[in-house]
Amino acid sequence: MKRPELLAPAGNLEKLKMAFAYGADAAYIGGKSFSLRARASNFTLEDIEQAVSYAHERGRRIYVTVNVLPHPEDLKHFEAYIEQLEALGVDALICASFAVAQKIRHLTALPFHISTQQSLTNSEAVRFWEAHGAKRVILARELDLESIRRIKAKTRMSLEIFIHGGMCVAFSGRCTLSNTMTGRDANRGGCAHSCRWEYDLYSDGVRLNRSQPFLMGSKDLAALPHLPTLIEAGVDSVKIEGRMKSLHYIATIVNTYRRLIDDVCRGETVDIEAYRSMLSKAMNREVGPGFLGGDPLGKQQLYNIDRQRPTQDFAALVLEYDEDSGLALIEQRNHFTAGDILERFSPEGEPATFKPLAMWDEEGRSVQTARHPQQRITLKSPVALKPYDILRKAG
Amino acid sequence: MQLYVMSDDSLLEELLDKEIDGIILGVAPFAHRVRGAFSPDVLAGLSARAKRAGKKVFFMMNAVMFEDDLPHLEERLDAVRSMLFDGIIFADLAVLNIARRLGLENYLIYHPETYTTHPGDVSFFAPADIHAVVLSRELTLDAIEAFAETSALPLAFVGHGYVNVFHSYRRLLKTFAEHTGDFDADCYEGVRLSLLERERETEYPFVQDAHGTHVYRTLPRASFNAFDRLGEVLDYFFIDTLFYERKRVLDIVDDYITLNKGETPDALHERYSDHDEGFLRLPTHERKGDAG
Repeated sequence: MKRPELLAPAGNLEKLKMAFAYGADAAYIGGKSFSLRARASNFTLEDIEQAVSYAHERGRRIYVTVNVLPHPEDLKHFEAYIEQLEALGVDALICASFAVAQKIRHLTALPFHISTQQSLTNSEAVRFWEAHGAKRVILARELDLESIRRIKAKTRMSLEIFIHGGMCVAFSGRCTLSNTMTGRDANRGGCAHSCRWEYDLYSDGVRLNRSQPFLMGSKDLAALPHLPTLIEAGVDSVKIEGRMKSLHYIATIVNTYRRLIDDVCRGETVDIEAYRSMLSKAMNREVGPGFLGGDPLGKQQLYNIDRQRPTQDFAALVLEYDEDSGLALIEQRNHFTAGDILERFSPEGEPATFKPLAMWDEEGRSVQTARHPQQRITLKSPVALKPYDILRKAG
Repeated sequence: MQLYVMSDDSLLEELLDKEIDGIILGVAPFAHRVRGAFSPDVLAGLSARAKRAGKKVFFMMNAVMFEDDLPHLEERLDAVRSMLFDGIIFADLAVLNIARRLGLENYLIYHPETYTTHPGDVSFFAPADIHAVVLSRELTLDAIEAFAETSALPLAFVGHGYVNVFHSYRRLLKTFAEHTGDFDADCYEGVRLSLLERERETEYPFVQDAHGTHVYRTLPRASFNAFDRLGEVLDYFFIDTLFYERKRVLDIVDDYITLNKGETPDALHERYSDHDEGFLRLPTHERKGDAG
C-alpha cells in the first residue's frame, strides 16, 4: 500500500524541527508576506534557508505558502521573492491565486500546489489545474471519501487531503464575512473568524433561536477513523492544519498520525480508539470527521463552545539529556512540581511515567516547583530521555 | 458599458421593454443566489422571447460542482447549446473544461466572486478564449481601475444588489434546529431570514437552500456615484435583483438606464438611502490592526 506523505504545519523553526522529530515527511511554512496566516510568527528568508537545509539533511521537504488572493497593489516584490525561494531550494509553493500561479510558472521552475483556498471539489477542476502546470491539488474540505476516491481514480494529479485541524465552515477562499464585519480580508491573511461569533436569527422580527446563540462554526476535523480508507484510495499527501498551534499540539498530532499511517501501511490491525486517546492529550477543541463522514450533521457543528478547555498538560520540553548522570535540561511550558507524575512522550516508543527525583534552577538551587514560563530547569529523571521529548503531567 | 439585469419569468416582459442590453437567467439546478432558475424547456422559451425583443441573454450556472454533478452538468450544457443565448456565467472550473469540449468556451464568463482580485487573474484566462471575467465583489473602485490598462478580456462587475459574503455547503439552519429543537427548519427553506451579530448588533440577510447557507452584506450595493468611473473600465454592468420587489427592480433599472445615457436621475441620494456602495470605497486589509 502506498504510504502518503504526512504534511505538518510549522509556524517557526522550532515547530518545524518538532514536526520532523515527531514524524512529518514534509512541512509547510509561510514567509513574512503573501501567506494567509498573518498572525503566525512566520519565516524570514534566512529562516527559510535554515528550514530547507534542516529538512533536506533529513530527507524531508519544505513547501512555502503564497496563498493570498492578491489585490492589484499586493504583488510588489513578489517576483523577486519567488526567485529567492527557488534559489533557497524550497520544494514547492502553495498558491490559491491565478495571478500567483502564473507568475510562479513563468518565472521559476518551482513546482506549485493549488491551495484548498481554491475549493476544488471535482475531477474536472483538478484536470484544469493539471493542464495549467500544477503539481498537486489540495482538495476542498467539503468532499466525502467516495468523491475523493473517484477524483483520484480519474486524474493523474497528486492529491492532498486535510486530515486534521480547524476548518472553514464556508467554502475556503470564497468567504468575505470577515471583510464585511471587521474590514479584515480573510483572503489576504486577516480572517477574524467571524463565523465563530454569536448570532441571533430572526424571521419577520421573531427570534428563532430560543435556547442558545445561533452558532455557525464547525468542530475541528479529525480524520482518524477514515485515514485507512484515504490511504487505500491512494491519496498522495495528508495534511495537518495549524501553523499557529503549540509545539505540544504539533508533536502530538503529527506523531499520532505518523504511527497510524505506518501501522496501516504495514497491514496491521489498528485500534482507532487508542489513536483517539493519543490525540486527545493535545486538543482543546471538539473534533469530528467533517465531510469525510458524509453530510455533516448537527453533531459536526460547534454548538457547545463552553466545553472547550485550554490544555495544561504540556509540562516541559527536553532540551538535553546526559545518560550517565540521568540529568536532563528542560524548558518549562506549564506549571508543575517535583511531586507531579510526568509522562515522557517521545517520537518513538511507548510513553513512560515517572516522578522527578530532583530539580534545580539555572543557579543550581534545588527547586520543588517549575513556575515560570520557559524557565530552564535541570531535572534528574529515573527514565531515559532524549532531546525533543515532551514531558506531560500524567495526573 | 452594457447593462444586464438578473430576471425571472415574472419580470421578463417588463424588462424587455426597457433600454437594457440583456438579461441574466438561472439554469436549474446549477444556479444559486438567483431570482429564478429554469429547466431547459422553460429556459429555451424565455431566452427566445428575449432574443426576439432584441436583448442578449446570459445564462447563470454559478454553483459549486461536485463529482456527482458532472454528468448532469454536461447534459445541461449540451442542452443549452441549442438555445439562443450570448453567454454562460460560471463559478466552477468544471464548467470551463466541459464547455470547452462542447465548443462553448467563447460564451463563458468567469464569475468566481473572490478569485478575480488581480489583473493577473484576468490575464490567466486570456489564452482560454473565454468571453469575459467578472471582477471580485470586494474590490475597491481604485482597484477596479487598475484592471483597465492590462485587461486582455472584457470585464464585468455586479454593480448593484445584495452582495453575498458567505457560502457554506453546510445547511446551518437545519443542523442548528436539529441540535436545539428550537424551530422547524423546513419552514424556512429558501426564506430570507435575518442574522443578527450580537456584539455589533448588525443584521445580515441569511438564506438556507439546496446549495447550502448564504449570508449577505447588510445593505445592498448601489453604484450610482461610481458609475462613470466603472464605465471607463467595464464592458458589462450587472444588476442583481435578488430580494427586491418587482416595482423596486424596475425603478433601479430605470435609474441606471438614465445614468447610462449620461443623465442624472432625480433624488438618488434620498431614494437609495437604504443602500451603500459595498466595498467600492471601503478597502479591506490584510492583517489584524490594519483596518484602522
